[in-house]
Amino acid sequence: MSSLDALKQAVIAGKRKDVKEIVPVLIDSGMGPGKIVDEGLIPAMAIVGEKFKNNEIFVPEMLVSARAMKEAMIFLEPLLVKAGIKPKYTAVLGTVAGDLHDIGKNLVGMMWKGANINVVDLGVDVAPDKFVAAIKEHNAHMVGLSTLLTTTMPAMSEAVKAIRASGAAVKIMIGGAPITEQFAKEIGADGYCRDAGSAADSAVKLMGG
Amino acid sequence: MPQATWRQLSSSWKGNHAFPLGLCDASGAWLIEPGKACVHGGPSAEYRRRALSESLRWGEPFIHRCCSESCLLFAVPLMLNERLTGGILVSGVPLDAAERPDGGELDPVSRAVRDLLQFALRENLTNASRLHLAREAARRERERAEAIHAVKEVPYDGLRSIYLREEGELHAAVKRSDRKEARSVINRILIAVYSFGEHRLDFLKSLLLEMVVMVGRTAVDAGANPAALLSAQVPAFRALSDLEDEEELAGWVSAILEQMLDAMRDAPGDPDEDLAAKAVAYMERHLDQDLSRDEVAERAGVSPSHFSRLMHRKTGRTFSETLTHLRVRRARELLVRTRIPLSEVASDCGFADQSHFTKVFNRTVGLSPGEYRRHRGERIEGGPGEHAGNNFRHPGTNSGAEERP
Repeated sequence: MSSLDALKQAVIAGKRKDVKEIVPVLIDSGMGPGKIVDEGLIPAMAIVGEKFKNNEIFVPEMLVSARAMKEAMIFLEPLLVKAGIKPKYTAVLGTVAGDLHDIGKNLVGMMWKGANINVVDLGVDVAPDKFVAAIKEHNAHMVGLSTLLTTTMPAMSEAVKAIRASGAAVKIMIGGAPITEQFAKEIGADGYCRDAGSAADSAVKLMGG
Repeated sequence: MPQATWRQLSSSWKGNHAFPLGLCDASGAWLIEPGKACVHGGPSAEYRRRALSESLRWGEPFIHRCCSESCLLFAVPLMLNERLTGGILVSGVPLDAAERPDGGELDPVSRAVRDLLQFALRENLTNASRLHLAREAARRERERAEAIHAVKEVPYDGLRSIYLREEGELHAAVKRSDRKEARSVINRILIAVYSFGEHRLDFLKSLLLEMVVMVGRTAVDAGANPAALLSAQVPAFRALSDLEDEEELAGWVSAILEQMLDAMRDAPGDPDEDLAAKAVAYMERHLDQDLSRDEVAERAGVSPSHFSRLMHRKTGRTFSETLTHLRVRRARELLVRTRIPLSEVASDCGFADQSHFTKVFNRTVGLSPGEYRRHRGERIEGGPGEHAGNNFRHPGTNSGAEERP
């Protein structure tokens, strides 16, 4: 098995320790960071994402794969920045104000990264003006708002209002356990995603890719 | 403490604070007694020693009761490296001094605490880094306690509501043997579970355990084989406590859920069983009426002859035997759980009259209704508590013999 295949298998199986060993070896062998991402990590996450989307695996399996990929990116991100490699689309992502939960958002982030979208993750408890500022700063094509709690759904509505008021030409996608398509329409979001599995497909469709 | 330093402290203290200041050694014995003694006689040496050790523990002066209900005491520990050499004590502080004055940022006691600590740090009389570490440890402890409190309050309610919302779809998916849909529903619950339990492995384990039990219960309700589910669960439950990280836990969750899905698949919904269950449910709802086989068959949507064969195959009883079984079981429940007269029990359960009821009951149970009520009523609080639907699914366990107490 080539080392790229070994990396793929390690990411799919969520073996973080293996990833930590393989990536430096690949870098030392002279392989470009772009190639490691494009031919190792993205295909691996695409396989995991596809399985997740098709309901063939459970969330924890996706999570360990995501963590393994993150481990690889610790080595690769500085090299990618240096080489000036940029994905086609940029998306800002965050859990809305008042909500501290990030698993659903992280899964969406992983699915998007797997679809080669540059993800700017603002974390949890993100105020509306932070979304607006990040959208402008990164010239984002899309923004993803997440919430797990019914109590923070009004905060989602506030964030949508603020983003629209800023005049940014950005697509707004919302999701999370309590969110329905009806709610998305009510608050004026462009798209709604019931689960992280379909997040990548919905995002690419929304951005016209 | 050098005498010059003490004089410096005393003079600046008198100008700024009204509370008496004293100096003691590590055991709490006075080295310099406060000029103006506490009106109640002042704190004992044990009180003073404890004030020092508590200040060391929290990394800052800890305010105690001094000697009675109306006085306060606090101390700054004096240290030589790691060694406690004594302390500067403020005692006899009236309780009402701790009230914040109008418009003031700090009350006089907090201001005195702050000034005393700053003096000790500035003059290098105490171990600043040791106190800093103690304050950090106390802060972490407080934050942990707050986090645990938050966890106790929110997630269980949140998780329960998410589970309640998803249970119906999971039930339907299991009933259809739709493994992918079941996985999709379980994944939505898992996102919530991981959101609440992330980064705290033991807590995550307990949330996952609860979820596996809930999923199992839904599966059994939807017709999965309890024995097969249990054989998947028991070894996994044993292994759970040994798992050391989230990677291992991820493998565990996936394995047990897949095994449970296998158990659900092995017991696919049987249309005949559904029909029979529907018929029994109808019979149970109308036990007090005069039920005929043809009427129930019509309700179940099958011909009377097919219905008879179906009932026999699924329950091991004829229609009239099933009806009698259900009536006697209802009667047993009413006899134990209620005090309604036997004649009413008879009519509520659809027996023509009390003598018919007594005859049938005696033949089936081996006791008269009155004897049964006396015996079981004394032994069983709250009655038999079985649900008819659950028993019906496993007719083999519900033989006539079981009806004899």
